[in-house]
Amino acid sequence: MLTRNLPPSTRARLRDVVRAIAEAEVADELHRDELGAVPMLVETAEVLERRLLGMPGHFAAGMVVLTLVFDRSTTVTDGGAFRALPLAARRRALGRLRGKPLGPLANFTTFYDKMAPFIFWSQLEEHGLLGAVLGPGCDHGGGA
Amino acid sequence: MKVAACDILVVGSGPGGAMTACVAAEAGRDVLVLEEGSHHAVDSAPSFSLAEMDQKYRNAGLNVTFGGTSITYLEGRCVGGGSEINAALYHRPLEKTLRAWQARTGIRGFEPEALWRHFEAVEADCNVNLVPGGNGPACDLLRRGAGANGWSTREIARFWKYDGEQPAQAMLTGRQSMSVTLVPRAVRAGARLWPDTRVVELTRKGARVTGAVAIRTIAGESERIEVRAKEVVVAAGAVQTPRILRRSGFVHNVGDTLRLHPMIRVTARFREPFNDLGYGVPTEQVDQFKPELTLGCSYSSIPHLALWMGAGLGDKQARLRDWRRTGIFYVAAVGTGVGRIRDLPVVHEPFIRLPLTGDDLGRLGEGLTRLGQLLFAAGAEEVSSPVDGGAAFRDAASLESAARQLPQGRMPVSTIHLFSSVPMGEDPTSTGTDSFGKVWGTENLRVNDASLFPESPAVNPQGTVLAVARRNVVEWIHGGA
Repeated sequence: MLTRNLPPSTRARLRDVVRAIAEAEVADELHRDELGAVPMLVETAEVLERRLLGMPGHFAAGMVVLTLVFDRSTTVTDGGAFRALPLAARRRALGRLRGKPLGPLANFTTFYDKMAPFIFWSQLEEHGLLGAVLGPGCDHGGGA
Repeated sequence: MKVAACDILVVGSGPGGAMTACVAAEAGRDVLVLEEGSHHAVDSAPSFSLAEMDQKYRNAGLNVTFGGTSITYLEGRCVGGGSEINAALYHRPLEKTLRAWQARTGIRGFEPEALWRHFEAVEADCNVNLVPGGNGPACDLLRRGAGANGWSTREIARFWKYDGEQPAQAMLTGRQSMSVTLVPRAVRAGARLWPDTRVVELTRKGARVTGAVAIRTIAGESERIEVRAKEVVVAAGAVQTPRILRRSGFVHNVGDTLRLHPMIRVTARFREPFNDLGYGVPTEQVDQFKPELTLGCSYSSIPHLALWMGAGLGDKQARLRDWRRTGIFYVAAVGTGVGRIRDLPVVHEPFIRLPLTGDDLGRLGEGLTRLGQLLFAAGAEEVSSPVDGGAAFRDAASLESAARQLPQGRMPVSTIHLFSSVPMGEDPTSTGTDSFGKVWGTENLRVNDASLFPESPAVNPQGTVLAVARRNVVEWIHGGA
């Protein structure tokens, strides 16, 4: 609820930052040179943003603030906003955060480190692309 | 505001609510069930998929506790509640657990001999079965690793109906959740089920609860409804039940004693293939260290492997090419931390503060050590760490060294087992309800879900929720007959 009424400019910036994080998180997972571009990146970023805003309001508000602050923080360390950095610099910036013992930062990195790959590979599965990436036999019908 | 009326109002359609509605409706009572989530077919989305999380999980599965280490917890938010989204594993609790509950809180009529008949009824009503013809290669591997260490394992039954000769093929559609068992039975007996209906608060007049105010949504249109009821049963789960009660002014020993089973996971790659996705949730557990610790294997689809591999492992795509040789394994502990649940003003969401204690970390570390010993003995060539994004270990001794001091706040801890937030018993100074779930100080308000457990059941709790709920509602309706 707290995050439903973000100003349009903030919402647009958040979308750009989340997409930049998503790309940095999954870049390792499907090399660009195989298909020219990372497939399902746009879809992954959209779902990731939806998940972020769909968390309980008090938690989502904190995560949105952290995401926007993180975007600005690389101006000091890397000379520019995170969303505008080259992919390698973005990956380094995310790597610097991992293992920080501070609770909010740990939640921040855990959320993106876990959810971005999960959503990305779920998208590949949903669109029947797992076999093309990993070889035959892994596109199954789901179930548990 | 529209007004509706019923004899018994049941809030929540998960295991506790479904059992309450079913027994009451079959006894001829006029029952109305309010469920906050929507009604989806049991197979409307693949289990544990993104689509299912959107449909059936509260906040798409992203709920978090606060306190040192944040714990992600899952709740169902759909007709059938948690039974629609969990692993569907069924246990009877250990007899000594039930006796310890009774000794601690003085619950009347809680002798195991009196309870087993309710477990037997649950097993029949909800199709509790073992996998016919063996439970798959991941379970073979778990047995092999445990056997090499001299530890016992046990196949756990599931709420599942296996049709046909090939168990793996039956996995796709066999879940016996509440939406295919007790909820339709309740409806056939005359109960009304209103999905997409969120209870705002209970209404009261002195010691009597008169019903509830709810918001019902039909075809995108929401309307406020007052439901008048002679009896109200809240069975919305261990988080939502105390939140609703507290919001409605019932706060005595409500939401102050939440407990859970913290769980950590690792991924392990073996020399030989074993990951057969068709078998779904592996049903073998190491029971050598129960009740404090349970070790097992999780559903290991490729997206879930990607989720738990952690960023620290490096080239994930190359590792995922080995998905047939890789699986997710878990340590679940009986948590010692006690949490508080509060209804946040304005947003009316639960705020949970629950510390992961030093004892919890020690117990999880011990479990991680044991799990490493099991996995390497079973042929693992690499096991990931849950800490700091997952470094890889290639032998049990290295993993044990890392497991000795698990750090607060630097590893993902999750749970789907939450309970004890409104404990039952005979002492009003330490419990929230009497021995059969009636909230102290009220004449007609009851709780009937995992909130009532005095402590951890030390096993997957759904079977115990159903049996205890059945015991309670039979007592209310039939006087225990």
